[in-house]
Amino acid sequence: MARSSERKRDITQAAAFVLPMLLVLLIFTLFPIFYSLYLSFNKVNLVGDVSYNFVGFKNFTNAITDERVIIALKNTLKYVVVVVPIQSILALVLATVLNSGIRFQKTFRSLLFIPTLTSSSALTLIFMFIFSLNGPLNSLLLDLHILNNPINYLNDQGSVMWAIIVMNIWSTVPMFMTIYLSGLQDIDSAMYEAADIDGANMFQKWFKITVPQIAPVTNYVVMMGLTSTFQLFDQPYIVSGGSGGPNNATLTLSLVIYQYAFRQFGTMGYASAIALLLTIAIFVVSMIFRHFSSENVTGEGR
Amino acid sequence: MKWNRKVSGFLLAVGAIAAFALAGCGAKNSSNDGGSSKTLTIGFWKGDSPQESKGRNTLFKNFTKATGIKIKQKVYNDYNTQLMTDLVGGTAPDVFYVDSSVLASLQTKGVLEPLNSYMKKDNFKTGDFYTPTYKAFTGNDGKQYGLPKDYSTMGLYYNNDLLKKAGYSASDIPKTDTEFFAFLKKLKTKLPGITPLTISPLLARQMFIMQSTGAKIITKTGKSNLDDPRIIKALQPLVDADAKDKTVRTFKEIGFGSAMDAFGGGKTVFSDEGAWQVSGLKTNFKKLNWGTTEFPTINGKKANMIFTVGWSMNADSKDKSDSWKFIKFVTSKKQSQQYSTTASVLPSRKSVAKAMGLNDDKDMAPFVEAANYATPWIAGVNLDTIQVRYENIIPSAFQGKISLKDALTQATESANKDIDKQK
Amino acid sequence: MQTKKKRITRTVAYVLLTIYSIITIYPFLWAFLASFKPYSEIVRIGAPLFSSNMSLTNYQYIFTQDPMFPHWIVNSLFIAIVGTALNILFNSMGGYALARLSFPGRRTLFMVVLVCIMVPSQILLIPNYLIMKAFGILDSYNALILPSAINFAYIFMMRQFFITFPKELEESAQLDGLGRMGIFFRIVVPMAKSSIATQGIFVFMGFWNDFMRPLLYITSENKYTLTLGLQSFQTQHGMQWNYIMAAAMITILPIIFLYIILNKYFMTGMRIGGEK
Repeated sequence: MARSSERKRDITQAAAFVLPMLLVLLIFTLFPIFYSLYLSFNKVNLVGDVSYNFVGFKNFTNAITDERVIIALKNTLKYVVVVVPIQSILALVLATVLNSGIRFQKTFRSLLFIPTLTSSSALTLIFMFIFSLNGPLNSLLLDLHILNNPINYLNDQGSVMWAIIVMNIWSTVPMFMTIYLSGLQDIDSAMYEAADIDGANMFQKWFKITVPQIAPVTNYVVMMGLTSTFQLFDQPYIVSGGSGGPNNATLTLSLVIYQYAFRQFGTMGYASAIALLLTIAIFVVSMIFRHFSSENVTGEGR
Repeated sequence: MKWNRKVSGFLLAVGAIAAFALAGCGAKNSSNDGGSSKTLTIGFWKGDSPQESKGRNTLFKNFTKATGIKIKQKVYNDYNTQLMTDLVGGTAPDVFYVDSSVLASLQTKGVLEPLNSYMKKDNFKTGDFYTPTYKAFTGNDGKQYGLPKDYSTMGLYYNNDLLKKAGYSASDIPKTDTEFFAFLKKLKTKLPGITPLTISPLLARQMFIMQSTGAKIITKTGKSNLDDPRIIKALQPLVDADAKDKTVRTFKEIGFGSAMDAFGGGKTVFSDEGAWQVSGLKTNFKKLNWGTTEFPTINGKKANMIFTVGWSMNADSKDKSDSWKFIKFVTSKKQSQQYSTTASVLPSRKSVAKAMGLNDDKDMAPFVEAANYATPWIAGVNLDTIQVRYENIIPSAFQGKISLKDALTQATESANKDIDKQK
Repeated sequence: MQTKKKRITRTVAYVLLTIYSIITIYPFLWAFLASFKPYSEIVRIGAPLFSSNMSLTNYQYIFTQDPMFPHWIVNSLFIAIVGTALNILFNSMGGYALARLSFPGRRTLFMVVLVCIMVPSQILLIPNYLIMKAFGILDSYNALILPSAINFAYIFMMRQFFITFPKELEESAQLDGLGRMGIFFRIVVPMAKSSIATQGIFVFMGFWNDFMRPLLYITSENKYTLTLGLQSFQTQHGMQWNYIMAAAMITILPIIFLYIILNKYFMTGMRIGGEK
């Protein structure tokens, strides 16, 4: 009797702890996932006469044949494929250098961290200024006689995505570098001492000890990089004013979803379908990565 | 132990503040609806000049003074997206600006309140409005869905000092398109570092050129017709002048944020802009010596664009009679004159134009004149989609990265696919 | 021999770091200085970094011409502070429950939390928009705060922390007659202050820097957050870089101050990566 009342009290107490979390989880995460699924099979009209018409897989078949979705997919993939490896490698290299027992480590670390603190909208505006026709970058390159004529980086379909790529690598490297740094400090220094005795040089040590030992952190960094790069939205939106131009050069999947959901009447269901495809894409790519990386780690660890 | 108390005390306080704040938000929202003094929400975009804001603020103030109804302002920075978001979300204002180009699309969605019954009840006379501006807000069902507040046409702005430097004067500006393009070439050689003509790569600014060879930018069913060979032929000279001759540049190509900045900065001889640029130039670039004239003829015919914006009522407005009171008030002769004079825009009422003496104003006369023959900025329910696709790709054609034909073909195909999806 | 080699490596390290620091700081420096210059000097090719015409005019212009700027700062602060407070409270409570309390469905709930960490925000945007429409909280601060009142990654982080937490302390407190809530707030929370500080900082940054959700959920200018206000400021002022850079600086500086004050926690907080 006493036992069951104690159990009851335990559960009421637990409920008090879990309730806020559970409410938000149910209302704003779990229910929306199913709602989204439902929307993606419907033609949704929310203005004037509200209507949901079941259309089967039409939204999905439309999506995979939609030229703009395909362009957006290509742009997004290009961005992911370029940014994720570069930012991860650059972050690890910088972290290694920082961790090599130099002085002023803290100062450098604090200084390099500043871009992480800055909102993407402020950063994008700063870079739009740097990359502008009469801006500092052109000014610098003209002074050094690398260029003869200034380039309009952000108004040119060939260069605008690269400008966004440079901007993002620049702004995300410090964050990953800091994560790597704390990982590096956990590596047993005895391993490096043993390698020193064997006469290994710096690069050998880096490839044979640092890279394999830091693999779990790399896993984390790459996973984070993948999910965030797949969702690229702020920079293309601000640079193109939401259009994805010039000539679709900055059109990303998130931007397409936004445009179909909120810029056009009657395509919210279609936008949901694309969002679902994006989610599946992120899951699949992370699964593939997990699969390969876990093999890799055990292989090199031996 | 002391620290423990502090932390837990802090957390509890924070929780209490948060709960209070959230509850407070909710309470504030509801009190807005049920307050004792009435409030109307009015949606608009800021426009191009501080004078426009001044004129609008005076309108609001006068209205509150006359009726006791307060105005809550809702500014749209990205009108097409934000108004749609508001309409979907049920947070749209009672009365808002409607551009003639989106009237058809909004009206067919049923989000605008027809004004006919209110007009009839108050015996509201409409004969004083310029017919094209009034008709722009008549729906396809013959009902009236808004009243025009003002209109604008385009004109050719020229920089007197630069013309003089090249050895010309305003009277040398050619009156036909072929001569004009040749004139631009001469200016380019005589004025190194200066762009002869700066344009904006926007459908609203190029539509009248496109339609000059007889084709319409939309098909009978309202789809994009931009890839019609006649349209390509009509636009080709302008695109070539940029891509090949570099006598015409878009403001972005020469590194400016708007055509007005380029013109005001003395970097270009000509700019093809709307009448709204007049007041902007007068306030921001006081030293500039400039004038306006009508566009050169295209294929021997005068051509121009006419844009008009009106006030429309939200079909879901909770206070329709007050909303109508507002529309009636701000489009009245007296208020219209106040607004048009302060904002230096072209009034939608003929009597106001006369009272302002616009036909004798040498800066404004070309714009008033153009209203007689200009093409209205109206093209079916899908204009926004067609416009977005055009503006996404056309800068690349101006830069010579792709041919105009390819650009317009792509823009048409992708717009029409989207239009099909919305059905 | 060995020391000479070491010296070379060290020099290379310093050079690399200095170059990268310059790359990092240079854009900020340009933007910072541009915010004090008149427009004509900013767009002149070959203009020097420093100018004799530097003044606070641009900042003055922003605060007088755009009376909304102070509003936006207050909005952003309010949303970020309230949002962060709720997150700290709910994430810690949730994490504690998952680690320590026994209740039916605990394992399932933990699995759900783990999966939810992976759900990208894009799939939630549209349905959440419609849900908030039904609740009538669109175009209000609640639209930004409520759906983000918890964060699965930090619930997980707190759970991991509480699982390693010594049980004895709680047990002795229980004997003293404290209830679960009492134990949690008096004993457990104070011990978790560095984890709490870490998530607090990241959650705060998340709210402060968010762009996409304010863009969709907020349409009234007086309710804009600073990021959205900054973007609308840019669309209105074209490429008047002097004003835009001053506006950007206004959004950056508060966070940098916060960073300087809380630097210690930032660095320890970064260990989440290593623990995972």
